Amino acid sequence: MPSKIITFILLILCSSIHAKEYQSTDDFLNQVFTGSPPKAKVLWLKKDLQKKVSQILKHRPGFLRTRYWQSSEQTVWIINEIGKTKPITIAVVIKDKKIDLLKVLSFRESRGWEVKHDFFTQQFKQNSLNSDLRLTHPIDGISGATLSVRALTKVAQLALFFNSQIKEPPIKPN
Amino acid sequence: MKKNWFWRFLYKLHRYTGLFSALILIMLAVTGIALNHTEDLELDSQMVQSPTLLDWYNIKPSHKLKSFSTKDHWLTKVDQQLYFDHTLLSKNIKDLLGTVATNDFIVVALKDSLLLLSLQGELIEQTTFESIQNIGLGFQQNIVIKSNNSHFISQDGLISWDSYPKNNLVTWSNASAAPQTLSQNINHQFRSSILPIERVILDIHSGRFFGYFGVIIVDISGVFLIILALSGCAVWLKHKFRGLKRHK
Repeated sequence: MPSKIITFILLILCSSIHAKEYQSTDDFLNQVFTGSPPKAKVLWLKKDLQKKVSQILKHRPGFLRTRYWQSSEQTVWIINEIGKTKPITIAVVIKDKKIDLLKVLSFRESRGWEVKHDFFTQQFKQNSLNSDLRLTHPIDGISGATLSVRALTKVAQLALFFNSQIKEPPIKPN
Repeated sequence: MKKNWFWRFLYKLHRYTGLFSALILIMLAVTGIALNHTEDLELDSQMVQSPTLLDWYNIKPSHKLKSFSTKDHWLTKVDQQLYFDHTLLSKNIKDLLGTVATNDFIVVALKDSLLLLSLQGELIEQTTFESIQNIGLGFQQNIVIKSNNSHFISQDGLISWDSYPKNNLVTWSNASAAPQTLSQNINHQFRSSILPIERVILDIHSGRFFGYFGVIIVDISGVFLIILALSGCAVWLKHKFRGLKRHK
């Protein structure tokens, strides 16, 4: 019996090895908005939006509102999505209805952490959403990280969809 | 004569090792196939409910419940799970520090984040907030957070935070004991959510389910499998060569 308890403890320890925050939300916002992030706004998921979000996530959304930061040039969305069992925190920067940057801020799963690397996230750059709510350019997967890849792809789709639901930012005067 | 004795021994060895290891091999094959399809069969997401099996694994109900009440509802933490009354809200929380309710929503303070819930317990949003120490209600029933020994108030539903003077009155959230029926129900739910079926099948496959004795039995059946393979090949080769000789 002690061996079973030790196995459990080892499993819990192993699962927490890769749990890591790569960058805090505040740091990321300061970086994107060069030190002066705008005040956060919120987008409420009313019933019609919830349906579309469920279609993208392939499950019911675990939230009823999401916040975003908008300037005249870009919009930042920070969204959590579960890969296999734990949420991955992903930030998406959108410019001109296209993804300018996608970054994994926190990864808490025990497997699939390879998705945090730039070689993978660069595929999302300049991607946009088609009428079927799918990305216009396909994303190549990573073997052994299928669920994390799926989570990142869904968040990219979701951020682009959310972006299409908010008011355009005011044009900056020259 | 000597040669006949050897082959008779090999036949018997093959037959009896086959008989002895048959049950274990079937068990290994069945559990192996199941483990190969863990995700398809959802063995990693389905939990063992049987009290006998949970007792076998020494998984006992947790008595370390931490509860806070607000607006006729209870928020309870057990291990890393958070319950809204009898309903599981989250499986992955660090610490429950308090909860308060306004006329529109309920806010739950965890160690490094806040959960905004509807009055029916639906999760509206989870936001990060570093080093939370406590949560309470301040001026005009607005949410106040104590963090790093400073106080912060939100007057727009947790979207933004302003500094709040320490000497201003705050009604802080305090832990209290949940009703017994609720505690029992949460304990039962918690106990039934720990052990995945995959773990049990994996332990049966390796023999660990039956302790050290089980591992030895599986090891012996592994050796038997090698004997079976070698003796089977030897017997097959013998027949093959005998057939060739007869042909000549």
